Amino acid sequence: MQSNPQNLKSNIRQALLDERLQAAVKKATDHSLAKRAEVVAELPHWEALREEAARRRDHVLAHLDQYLLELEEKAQAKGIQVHWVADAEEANRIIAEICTRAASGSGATPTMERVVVGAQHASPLPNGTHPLVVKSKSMTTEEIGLTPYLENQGFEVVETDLGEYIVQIAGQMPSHITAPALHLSRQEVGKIFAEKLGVEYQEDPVELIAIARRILREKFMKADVGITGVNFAVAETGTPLMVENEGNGRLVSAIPRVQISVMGIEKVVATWEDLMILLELLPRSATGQRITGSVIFFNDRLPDADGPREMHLVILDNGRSKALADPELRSILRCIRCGACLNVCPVYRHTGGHAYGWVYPGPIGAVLAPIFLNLEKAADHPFASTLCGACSEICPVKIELHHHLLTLRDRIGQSKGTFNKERLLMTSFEGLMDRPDLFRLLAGMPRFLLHDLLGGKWKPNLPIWNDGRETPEMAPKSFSELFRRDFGSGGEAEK
Amino acid sequence: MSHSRSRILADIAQALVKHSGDASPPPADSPATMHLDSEIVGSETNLQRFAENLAKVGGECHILNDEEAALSQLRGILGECHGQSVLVPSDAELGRMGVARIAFETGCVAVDPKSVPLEVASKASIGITVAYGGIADTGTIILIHTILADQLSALLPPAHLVLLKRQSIYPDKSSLLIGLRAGGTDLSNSQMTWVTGPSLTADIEKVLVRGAHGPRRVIALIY
Repeated sequence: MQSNPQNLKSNIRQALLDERLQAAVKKATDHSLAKRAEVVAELPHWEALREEAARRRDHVLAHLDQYLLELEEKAQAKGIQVHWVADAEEANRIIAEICTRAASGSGATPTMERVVVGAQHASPLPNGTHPLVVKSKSMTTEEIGLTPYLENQGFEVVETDLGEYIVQIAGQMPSHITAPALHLSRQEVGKIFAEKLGVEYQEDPVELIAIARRILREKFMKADVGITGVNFAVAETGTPLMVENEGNGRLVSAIPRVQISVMGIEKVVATWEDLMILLELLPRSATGQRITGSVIFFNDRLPDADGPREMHLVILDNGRSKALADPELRSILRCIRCGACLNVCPVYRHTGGHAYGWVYPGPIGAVLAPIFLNLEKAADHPFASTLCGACSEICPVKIELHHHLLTLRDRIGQSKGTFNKERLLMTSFEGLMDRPDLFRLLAGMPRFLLHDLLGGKWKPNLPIWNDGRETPEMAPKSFSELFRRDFGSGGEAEK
Repeated sequence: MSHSRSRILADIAQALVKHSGDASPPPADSPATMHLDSEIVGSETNLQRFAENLAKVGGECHILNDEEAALSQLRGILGECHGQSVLVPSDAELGRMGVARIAFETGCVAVDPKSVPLEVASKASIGITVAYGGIADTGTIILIHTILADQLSALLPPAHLVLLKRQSIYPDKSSLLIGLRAGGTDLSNSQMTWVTGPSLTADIEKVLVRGAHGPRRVIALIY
């Protein structure tokens, strides 16, 4: 499958032929949904919580500049260095600069001697080693392509979330927002470990995780920089925070001398009270937990024996302010990246995440792709949905995802120009619906032709529709004929 | 200040002007204004719920009558680690309780992570810290670190033993927040971590494995 959003259709076709993939995705998403249902049922006021969370998220979005400025001021007051970045290119460049300074051993004076910024190939330190960056899982850094960028600059970049580590060494993208390796079976993970890490093949998850723990513990100890995502950032105290289960986020933020945390502009929340509500919703929706194994609050960093240590907060726009300016789509910025809409989506459940060819799969990704990438590059994404609305129903912050998908479909339709087959068809259909006699005549034609005239000996081959189904036999009588026969004039009620 | 900062802020301001009419009202009735029932905090029911919920996520909890009983329990647990090293950060409360001495008496080597390289600290079998408090409805332990050695003691070894006072167990997140605010905790400067049970992962086929990167045993002694 190709990691290109423009390959959506061919990727989907490929995924639909992969029964093993579908079984793995179904098993994992069913598991997540069952666990979620259990912990949601514990809270009788779940619906009220969703309402309240949506209201508070909307409030922050409506005053976003004000809350971001408050976050910046409070964060700077305690020594966090704040960087505003407009797009992926700027984000990567600034993060690479911070990493370069960190690896040169001095946070104070920037030096480009050891790592050449802009180099296309890995540039090791004079002693032959590569400066080491450890990362805890962050979809935002996936979005900006940070890891390949830093690798090009000569850094060794290690993902430390176990799922993310597995897909990294396998050379793949995460296939789910909260469960990056959900598409892989234990046998496949075993093979990847044997092949890439040179360990003996085994498929017991406990053993595989013990191997990863041992390898990654070494990396934590030696890392120059730790990079984390940010689940929320509380404006009133300037506190970014993250939730995680494995303890890797704790290690990434405790050990390396320099920490960089990357957040989208929409991750800011006004108060700790807002945060408490979101912390009820996020773990339950994401992993079916009442709370995650750790919630880590980044209020600057504790000094080590060598003195104070650095903390950087990178605030990224990258298309988000575009969504903010769009009244019809703005509420997409409420998203807290729980991934519940993926688990429940009939399309995602059949294709997995890689088919989307982009970092955010599922319904949330199908809405974000046309906004973040533009309508042309992701013109098929809003159509990768049955519009069943399950995503909107499960969303903990009540984003009307299926409405957003419809809005985007409409815009894509409009952008295709005035002559559009679909538009012509719909206008004709509208005219037909105004003339019941003509409608009945035309609707009866196929049955008359195929059943009465040809006696069912020939069936039309309908493009696309017949790819996955057979044309059914025509019934000898139409529904309205049967209805009139059995219920008399009731069938004429439509007149 | 950077060019991007002003550009992003200008883009946001412009985006908001476009439809300023629908700016939602500020949130009302913040839970902080609610009264916190001091009877509930530290009540027996609360402790039982904390213990049950911690056990549900794979943690161990011992509810003890007083500090003496807690230290005696600690002695028992350390007795199982005879000859191994134990991380004991230089914390006033641990010092007052004589935890390093107990470790020595039970045949363990008490190590302050501050005074050894990370690789050495990482080889300890257990780390001992004092918690700020707990949340009963999730079995969550609230750690507020003032020194790095404390943060590392709770994180590096395969087991974390944490001492909690029964009056510090709050029923839920909201009441904890009220307690933090009322108790004068500086929320902008506290290096806080909430820990709920052993570190875990379900990244391979959703099989739950305890002991990912952090401790695989979390033992709470409540007194």
